[in-house]
Amino acid sequence: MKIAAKDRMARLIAAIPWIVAQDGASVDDIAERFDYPRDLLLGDLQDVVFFVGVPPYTPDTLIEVTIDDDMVWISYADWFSRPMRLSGAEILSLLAAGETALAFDTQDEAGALARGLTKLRLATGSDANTIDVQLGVGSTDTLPTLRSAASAATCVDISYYSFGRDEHTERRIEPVRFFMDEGNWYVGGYCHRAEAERVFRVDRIDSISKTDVAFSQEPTGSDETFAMADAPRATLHLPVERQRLLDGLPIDDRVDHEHHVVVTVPVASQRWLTQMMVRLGPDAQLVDAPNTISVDLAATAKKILERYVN
Amino acid sequence: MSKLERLLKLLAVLLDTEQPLAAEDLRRRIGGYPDNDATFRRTFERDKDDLRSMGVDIVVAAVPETEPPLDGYIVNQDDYAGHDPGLEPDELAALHLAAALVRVDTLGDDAFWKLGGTASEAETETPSGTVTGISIGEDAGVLHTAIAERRVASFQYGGVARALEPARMSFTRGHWYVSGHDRARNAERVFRLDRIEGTVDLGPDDAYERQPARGPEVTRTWELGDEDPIAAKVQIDAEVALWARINLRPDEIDVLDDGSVIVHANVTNTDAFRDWVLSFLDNAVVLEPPALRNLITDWLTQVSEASP
Repeated sequence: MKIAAKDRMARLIAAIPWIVAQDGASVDDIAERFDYPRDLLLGDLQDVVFFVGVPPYTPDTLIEVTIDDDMVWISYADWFSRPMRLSGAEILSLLAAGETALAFDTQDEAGALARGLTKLRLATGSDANTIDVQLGVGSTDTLPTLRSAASAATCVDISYYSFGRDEHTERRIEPVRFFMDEGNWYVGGYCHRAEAERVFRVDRIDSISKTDVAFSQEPTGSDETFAMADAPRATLHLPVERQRLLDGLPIDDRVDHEHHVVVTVPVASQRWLTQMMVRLGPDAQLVDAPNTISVDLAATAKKILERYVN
Repeated sequence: MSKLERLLKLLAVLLDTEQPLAAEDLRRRIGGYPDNDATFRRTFERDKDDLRSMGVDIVVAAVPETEPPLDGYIVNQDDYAGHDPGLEPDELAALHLAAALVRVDTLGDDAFWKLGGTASEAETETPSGTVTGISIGEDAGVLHTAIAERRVASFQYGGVARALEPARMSFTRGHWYVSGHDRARNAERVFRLDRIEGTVDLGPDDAYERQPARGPEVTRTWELGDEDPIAAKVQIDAEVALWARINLRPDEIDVLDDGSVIVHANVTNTDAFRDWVLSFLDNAVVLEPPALRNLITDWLTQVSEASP
């Protein structure tokens, strides 16, 4: 494995304070912790770190590295005695990942994650109110129930609300994959009703119950259904001022012009496309629609307007 | 001299010095730089870039007693080193596991090395159901630093120059938001990070007391605006009332006998309000006030006239 000088440096300035704090550590342990190939590590410690210091480069101003058998000791590394500060983005990333995992998993029984997050907050000047990661998890027990069914490989029965189709359905599913996108949790797996792999948004599961029925399928691990690979596509032309309505849509193709945007998006249902065109407004056009779906904006507008006649 | 040795020596000297050192001075102290002046310049610039890309804050300041002033370089020890949170091995392993589960795009191994590295590959095996989707941009990192160090953040938003005392970062519905006291408006405000225009600049440390701040109400998009508040009543039919029951607080809705709900909305963004009401098509109607009913009917009339 070849590692660039800069990347070895990042490892060394993290490893040196750690070795100093441990009062000596084994070569294998250092190699594993800092992802540093053993031979490269030994070479860099003996041939490079040993010569690092500040003028006048007398022994007392040079880092002292002692390697004996399989152990490494480091002393006089005053400048590198503390690890580098975590960047703002790194701290936020750690806290966000930790908070998300806490919400997702009930397995932090020993509380190690919660303790770690608290220490990290204290050391970096944040507190419990400064970061807030909200996830679309719906009812609090839905996600843990899905998770435990996934690890036991047993089916669950769910009542699911499909927003695009505006319908409630009862389904038996085999939960295998979990992921988050645009701040919402999804569960993917075989659906007995569809007789195919499907993806469901967790916060749209109205109710859930466990079963003792084992999975019937080997999971294929495909996330394709999520991108609505088999959904028909429509091409829309909209003024730039209205582009905020595109937030969160899985866009296949997008071309930005000076005053307008042209996008191609998957269409979940006629209802979905109709409401999108109504919201986009008079300056938007449906350039190309699947022939299976017809959108009559004048009739739709008339129908809504009827509700405003008293 | 190898590049690795040169970079380590450069960093050691920059941390050790008590006053800024000129490039020539650093060249002499470190040794091992090319003899040719132009080549030295290029190599030295690249070394500085490498250290900076690792997150080392190299301060440029005038070398004392030089006339005309000469650029000097120094790294402040307290800026370089962080406070060690003192994580126990199980806490670090739990964080590492969380990072494997959630996969935040900006979170690399470097962050864990700084915390002492993680012990075993076995413990970091990706759990079933890896999650993706939290993305942290540069502004999010900068604003989090601002909160931690209580520094005022200046940026442009909605065409207005803001001076924010940031108090809270929220990740919700796939976006980061920052909230706090906006000095420009003298009021609490919420900003969506990807709509900040240009860069975020931070003022000095400890510039304000951090006050508890509300997070964004992304569900209530009609509240995300600067307009004078209008109280509105919207009726949503039973077929689609689930949306309101899932997303709104019980005190914001009245459930009627036929299963439909009345939503009481406090509107400060009329465009977003219209977008929301129309998402229900003919399953929702604005009951009050007349001005917002007209907003919907005028829009629909235009849509109708524009459609072929």
